[in-house]
Amino acid sequence: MVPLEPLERLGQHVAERQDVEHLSGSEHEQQKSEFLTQAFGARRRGSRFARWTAVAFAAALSAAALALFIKSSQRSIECFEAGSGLPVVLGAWMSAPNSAALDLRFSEGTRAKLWPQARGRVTRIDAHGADLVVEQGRASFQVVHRDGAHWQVNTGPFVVDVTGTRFDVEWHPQNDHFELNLFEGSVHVSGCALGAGQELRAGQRVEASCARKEFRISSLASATEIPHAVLRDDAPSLVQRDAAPRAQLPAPTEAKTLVRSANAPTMSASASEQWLTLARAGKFAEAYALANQVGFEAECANRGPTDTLLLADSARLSGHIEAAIQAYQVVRRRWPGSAGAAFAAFQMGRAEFDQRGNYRSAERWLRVYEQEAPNGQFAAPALGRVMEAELHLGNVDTARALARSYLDRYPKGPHADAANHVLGATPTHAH
Amino acid sequence: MTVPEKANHALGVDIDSRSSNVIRLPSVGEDVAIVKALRAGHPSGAARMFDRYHGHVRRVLVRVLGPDTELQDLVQEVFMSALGSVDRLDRAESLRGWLGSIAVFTARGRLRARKRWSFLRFLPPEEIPDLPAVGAPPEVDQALRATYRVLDRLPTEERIVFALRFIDGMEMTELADACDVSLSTAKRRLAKSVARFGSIAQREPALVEWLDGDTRWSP
Repeated sequence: MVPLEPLERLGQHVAERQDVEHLSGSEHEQQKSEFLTQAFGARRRGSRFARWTAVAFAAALSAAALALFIKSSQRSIECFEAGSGLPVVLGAWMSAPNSAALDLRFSEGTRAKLWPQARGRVTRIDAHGADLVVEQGRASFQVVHRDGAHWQVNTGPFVVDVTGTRFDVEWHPQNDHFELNLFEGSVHVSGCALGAGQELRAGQRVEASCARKEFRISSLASATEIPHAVLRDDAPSLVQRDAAPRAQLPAPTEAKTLVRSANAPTMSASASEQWLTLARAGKFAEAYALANQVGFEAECANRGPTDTLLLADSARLSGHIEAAIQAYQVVRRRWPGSAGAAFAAFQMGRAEFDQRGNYRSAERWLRVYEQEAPNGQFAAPALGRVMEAELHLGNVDTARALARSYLDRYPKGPHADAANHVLGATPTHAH
Repeated sequence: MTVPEKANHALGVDIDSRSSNVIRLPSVGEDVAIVKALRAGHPSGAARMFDRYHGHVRRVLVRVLGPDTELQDLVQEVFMSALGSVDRLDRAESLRGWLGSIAVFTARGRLRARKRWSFLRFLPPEEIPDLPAVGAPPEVDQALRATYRVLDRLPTEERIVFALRFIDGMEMTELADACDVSLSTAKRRLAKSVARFGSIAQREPALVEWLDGDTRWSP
């Protein structure tokens, strides 16, 4: 038997040797142009001429788009995503990342910001202003006052009409919580509990619940005296008043159990974001360790589905299977029926199979995934693993039926060899 | 359609019919935005995906295949496959891993094609494309070439797990994900590949010292 350490050393040297060869910037751009041309433009490659043609073609398209953009920007208000400088898509949903805000800049000076995990879109834009929708989360606006300006912000069932002002608005549909903090100017807020509308002045806050048909207007000064508050389903209007945007609120079913008081230790925001960065970079062990320091359960309770799944994956891939299962379960409990819940079932099946060798449980979770996402990305490996699990459990006839089904659906899939083996020979590893 | 309109159409740029002063371009940043743009058929998503993951895809291919004259085309093939199947990606956040598994799939096809057409090969194996000279000890070059000579004699699946585990340094769980097999299957394959590699490598002088634990080339 060859010891592994020399192999690892050899492999490392081979990798280092391979890694010295990398593309220059111009080579990268040329290959990218080729790819884009192949995907969206003319037919593909081969000759040097074709490659230069690809570059020229892509450049021409870019120039045309730029020229059109410059021409159009001379006519009326434009909206740019501030980070990239790209014009936003009218009508398309925009989501702020989990760890950063998404800044929007309008050409006449108005600014908007979608705070982390908020989602919104621009639905109208013309010379006088724009209509925006904040589907969920928190957004800030600084609207330049101009004669004839008209801006409208729609958040759930509430509508905010604006001429020139500065305000924050939040809408959390899961908590039925609407809130607007007005710092400058005036706005008109209408819809649902607010009926035909209320005029708000600078320094006022309005909070509303559509289901309960209630609203409350208070002064910003009094409200900001509450630095932290208890999140309970009987007090949805009392939320954190931190200057920083808060994490996604828990689902109503979990709200009862999450209590945050003014004396509770505050989570380190930077550490909380760092584990995300590490996990996205594939450094799962470090990510898991850091998330544990921050508070694994709290992260599961406060994060959105994407981050919770990433946290679960980090735990699984760093060998902390109990924690991984716990986080996957949280996803299924908080977002039942979602794609994330189905994926969590698949990952639990995978973990039970690989790390625990619990084939009964693995088979059950994998079948849950098959039911919830029959055409999902992992349908093939799920079926293959169910087949393997049945073999491990000694259910040879079931495994053979699954093998036939697998080969019918995925004749070249990763479990095709195993399926053929199941059908062609008596399995030897069933027990 | 005017020339600029054609150009924008080809790029996926669209002028909103209700408001002709707005260019429809998605803003792309993270994987979610990239996948959203890809699903909308927008080139900016494809460009961002290429920028962000070209290195990763290329690295996986190089690790599994070793030197290959078709590397550039294979990289393109991976990205084209990704474009064509992005609707089947369940989680936008797993874009990197998903591209890695497509790269493994592509490399597998390439290895099988190599074997299929090996009887038509006129060049001896040692004339496979060389790497540029960058001042590494010649013994390292020999070790690299010898490593892939040995890997060429391994069954495809064993070669893949060996390369990903020992050359790329991938953890077993991640490796199993990339190969779309269970961890136990991946471990079985790796164990077989180690035994087979060790046996064949004994006949490669450039590898004997490495496998005997000689560390003379260690930094």
